[in-house]
Amino acid sequence: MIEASQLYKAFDGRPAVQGVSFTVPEGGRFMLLGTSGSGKTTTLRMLNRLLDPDNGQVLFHGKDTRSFRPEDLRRQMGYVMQQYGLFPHYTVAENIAIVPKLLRWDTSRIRQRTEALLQKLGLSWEAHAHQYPAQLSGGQQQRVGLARALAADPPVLLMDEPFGALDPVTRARIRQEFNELDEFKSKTVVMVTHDIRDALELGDRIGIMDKGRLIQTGTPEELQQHPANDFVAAFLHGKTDAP
Amino acid sequence: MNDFLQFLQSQSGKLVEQTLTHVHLTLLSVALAILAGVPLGILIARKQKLAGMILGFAGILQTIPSIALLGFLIPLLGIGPKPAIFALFLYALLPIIRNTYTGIRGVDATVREAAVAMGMTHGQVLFKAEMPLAMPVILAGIRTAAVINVGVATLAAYIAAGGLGEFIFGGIALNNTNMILAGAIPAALLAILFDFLLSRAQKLSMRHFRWAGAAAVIVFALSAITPAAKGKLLAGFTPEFMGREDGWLGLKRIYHLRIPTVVINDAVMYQALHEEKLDVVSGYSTDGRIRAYNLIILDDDQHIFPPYYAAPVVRKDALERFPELGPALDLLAGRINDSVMTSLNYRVDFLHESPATVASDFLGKQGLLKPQRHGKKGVVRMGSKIFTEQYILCEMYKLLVEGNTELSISSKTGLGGTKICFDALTNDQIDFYPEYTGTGLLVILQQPLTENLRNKDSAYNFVRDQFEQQYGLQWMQPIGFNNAYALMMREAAADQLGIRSITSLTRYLNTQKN
Ligand SMILES: Nc1ncnc2c1ncn2[C@@H]1O[C@H](COP(=O)(O)OP(=O)(O)OP(=O)(O)O)[C@@H](O)[C@H]1O
Ligand SMILES: [Mg+2]
Repeated sequence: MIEASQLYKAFDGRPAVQGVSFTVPEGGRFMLLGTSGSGKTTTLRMLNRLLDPDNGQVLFHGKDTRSFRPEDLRRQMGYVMQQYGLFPHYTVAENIAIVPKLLRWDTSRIRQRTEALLQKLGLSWEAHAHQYPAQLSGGQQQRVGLARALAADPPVLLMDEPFGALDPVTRARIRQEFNELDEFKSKTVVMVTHDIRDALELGDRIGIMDKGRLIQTGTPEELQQHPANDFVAAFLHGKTDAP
Repeated sequence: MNDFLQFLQSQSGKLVEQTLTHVHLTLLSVALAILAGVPLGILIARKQKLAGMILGFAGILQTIPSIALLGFLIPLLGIGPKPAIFALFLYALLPIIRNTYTGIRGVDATVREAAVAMGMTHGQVLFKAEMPLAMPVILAGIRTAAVINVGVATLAAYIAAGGLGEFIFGGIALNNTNMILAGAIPAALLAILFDFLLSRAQKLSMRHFRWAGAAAVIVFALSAITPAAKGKLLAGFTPEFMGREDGWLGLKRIYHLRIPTVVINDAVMYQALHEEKLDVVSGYSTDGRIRAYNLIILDDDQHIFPPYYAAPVVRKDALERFPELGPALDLLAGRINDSVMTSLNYRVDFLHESPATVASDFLGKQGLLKPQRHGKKGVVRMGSKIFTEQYILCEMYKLLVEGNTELSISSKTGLGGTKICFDALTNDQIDFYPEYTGTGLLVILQQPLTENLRNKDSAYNFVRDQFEQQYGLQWMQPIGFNNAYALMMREAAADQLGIRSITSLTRYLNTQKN
């Protein structure tokens, strides 16, 4: 479904991502795991054309993403940002309705969908739909961010450190809730994280990144049993990273 | 207070008209500035490289003195509301462009990225995310622009565009406090009102803007309907002239002159006449521009303009402290006649010689120029109104006093109009300034014009005696010339229409109507 090949991106002449290739089949859950500054976000941004690679290409349904209108491509890929990125001037309900509105859904369908999503994510229409993001806790904002990405039921979900801003306890709980969500189960997912537990719990394949390169790709078991080098081994045992 | 209310009541028609014009000028110019400034602000928020250039340019526009700007605009846009609105528009641009730019640049990058990532087009990112989030800052810019423009719009009275400036400048020129307040209070209230309304708008959310926008369009459309009546000939009079018995009031009463009038500042009045935007103006009979623009003075055959012989008015205590001051000032007495004064003014205004050069040249030819003594006996404070003739006279007095006495002069030139000069004199801020008999009579003493007072000598004697009795001020000997009010036209036009006197102007206008 998503095929990245030989992605290369430099900022001011300094490569941030080089030679990155991976494939995510339909329904696959690919975890990009790596230290800070290793190029994970840059890689993710190239998938929905928030950035265009200097070299290499991304295929979506076998077609070069550059052949799509960028807006159409992005509306098929829900995007969850590390810093939530909610519209501060929109209510919770309005934030969730953004993509459905862009796709010209009718009002009652949007309302139904929003209510259902809020409920699935442990929020309620009555209590939260008309609140503004500033009135919510970090965990609640993150749920709204997820709901917004899921709202138009896109086939693909791109997530950049979706639990990054949460304390470890909340993080574990939301991760588990999320994992059990049937919404989530039907998606093709690419998720960036630097937390090994996120990757092991949510991923079916993991790519380890370091200094702009994808060092090793494999299932959680493969990586744990046959780490390609000391870096991967150390990383998987949580030694290089402070969560 | 009662006076003031009475004034308001008697002038209520004018007050309403001026206030509406003022609102119209302000709203229209700010609306145009929004239409141009917001897109420009958005553009430079996108293209950073242009930002410095465009903000710098708008900043420079802001620093052009308004009267100079209006002067530049007359050849392009004529007089009336057009150049006024255009100038106000230019002044409103900077706060609007800058705040739009700052507002949009200030939108959280995460929010912008989220908007793009969800598949919004450039337009949708702008209108759904950036603009609403930048709106409070943009509105603050509009608010600043509106409040500035309520103030600057008073200057519209300089170029025949009306507004509350007519009362304000008329009142200052006529020493009429009620008239000043009748313009200044509504202007201040308008500024407060606009500020309040826009501060409310800042609190509205985006969806209310559609309503606010619709309301604005309606107000805009209503205010855009301006009366535009124009006869054959158009007269431009200063705010001062409009309110004077020896001005427009007398022209109407004694000559029965009926001509469409607009209010205009004397700095641009002659130019507007020259550019054929006006046909008749109220000028001063010794102005250098009469010569420069080939103008003629219409004969005042019914004698409504009283004599305006110039002489220094001095504080008595200064004359007593420095007995040599009086004789030094009187050295100029009787030395300058009308045509000499006109050509001295012409040399400064059109040949761009400095008033100091012109003054010392003249004194040299008259044998009055003496080496400066750099005396230390005392300092005499000299004031002047802001126009060329007064500057030249003051330079002459400086040379005379410093060459003939041990006194030195400190100049406080550029004291606006009559009221400001006279108040400075009575409040012991200056020791003397050159005044005109007619002004003393009508503006300061507020003396109704009698037949007797139209005589040169009796007018002089009257103001001399009254100033001494009422204010303890001394009129020195008259300098000689009579800088009276005069109606003037382009010589070519007057010749063509056969107009030589005010009576023949009235006759011409009456035949045109029938
Ligand atoms: N827009 C940009 N301009 C310049 N340099 C950039 C830009 N975006 C990323 N970089 C650089 O590219 C490198 C990779 O950044 P990236 O954000 O992809 O890292 P990351 O793996 O997501 O890190 P983190 O875990 O801290 O989010 C970094 O050195 C970063 O400074
Ligand atoms: Mg990142």
